[in-house]
Amino acid sequence: MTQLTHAQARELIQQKADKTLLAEQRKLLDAHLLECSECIAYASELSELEAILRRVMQSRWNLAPAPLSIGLVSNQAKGKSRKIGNMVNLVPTRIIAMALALIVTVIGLWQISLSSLAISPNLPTSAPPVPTPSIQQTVTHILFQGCSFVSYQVQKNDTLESIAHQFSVTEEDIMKLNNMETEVVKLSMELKIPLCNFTPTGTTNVPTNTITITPQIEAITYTPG
Amino acid sequence: MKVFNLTSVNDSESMNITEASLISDCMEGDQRAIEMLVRQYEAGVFKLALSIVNDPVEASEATQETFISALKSLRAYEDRSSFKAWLYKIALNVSRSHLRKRKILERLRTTLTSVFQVETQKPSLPEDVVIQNEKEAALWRSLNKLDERHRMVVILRYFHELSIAEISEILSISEGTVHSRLHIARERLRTALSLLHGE
Repeated sequence: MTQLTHAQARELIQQKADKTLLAEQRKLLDAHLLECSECIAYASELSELEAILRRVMQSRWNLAPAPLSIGLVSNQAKGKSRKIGNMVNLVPTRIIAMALALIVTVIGLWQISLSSLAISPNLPTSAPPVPTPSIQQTVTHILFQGCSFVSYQVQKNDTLESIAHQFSVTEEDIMKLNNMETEVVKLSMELKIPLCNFTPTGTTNVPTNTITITPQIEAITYTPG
Repeated sequence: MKVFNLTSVNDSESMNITEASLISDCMEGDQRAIEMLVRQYEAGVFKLALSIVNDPVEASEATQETFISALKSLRAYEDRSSFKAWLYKIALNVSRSHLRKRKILERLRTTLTSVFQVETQKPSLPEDVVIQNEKEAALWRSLNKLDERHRMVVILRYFHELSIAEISEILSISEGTVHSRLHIARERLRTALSLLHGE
């Protein structure tokens, strides 16, 4: 067996780094390295790694200790040591103290959340509980009782005035029915238009629910119910 | 001859005899023998502790604890092959327990600070030691990213310059395991370095 595979050569290079290479293995490896530039590169990468590793750890940890007190060490080795006892006990003590602090904090936070919960039920009593829209809806319902409604999609160049005129209704009625706060209408906005039946003339041409409406309505007097 | 090789079995008989008598003197409580033993190994033990806990103050504490518990249990040593490996094993255990305690404390501290939303300064580690170049910095980061099993063998091999046999004794794992862990660690670190080259 004179030929090594690359994998075998690498394994031998690794063993060489550990100084566990046998003499025969060393011969085989040297022979392989003469021919294989790839493995030479591997070996040199590895030795570079080793060199940097040594250097970096040396630069970090090359500190000398302060000499130990022999009296202290031998005394404590003889009898029961107070120092060691302290060092060992210190850690659990600190842990217990921290755990206590944690518990106190948790309880504190819990109390705070409880007290804030206790305050909150008082708040709604001062606030108006009934939402206003429902009132408005009732109002409009009463206002436009006996009326039929068509929906109208706002076209280009429409204004609230023009629409109201088109259907012979007042602007205010449209605004009330649609819960509008301003007179601004927007393109493609859906508007409900009230058409009330109790007009005396009865000539109202009730449009269908489509958007193409030709306004033929004239002078309809409208009295809100 | 390296100072640290003092305890290797095959080194020299006279050295072994000296150490054996030194140890038996220590067991009898001879102050001078204890001093000799401590002075001989304290630098090595301190460095081992430092490389694990990464904090000089804690490393000093761990060094002291190591010698105290070693001297207490010298009888358990008897005639093992390497006193150094035995001592390092104790140092390793002491340092690890220091590290564990610190991790527990740090975890608690982060929990508490997240509760209180207070920013606290981390304990200052010797991170500000100047690292000469980018490669070393990158390797240092990769080394710290290794899991403990693999980082430990690298530290013992390349910082403490221990042999595979010594590492195997200290960590109580087989030599084959030491080798395979070193192999894996080196491959990971080498990949990290070559990625840096590629950039």
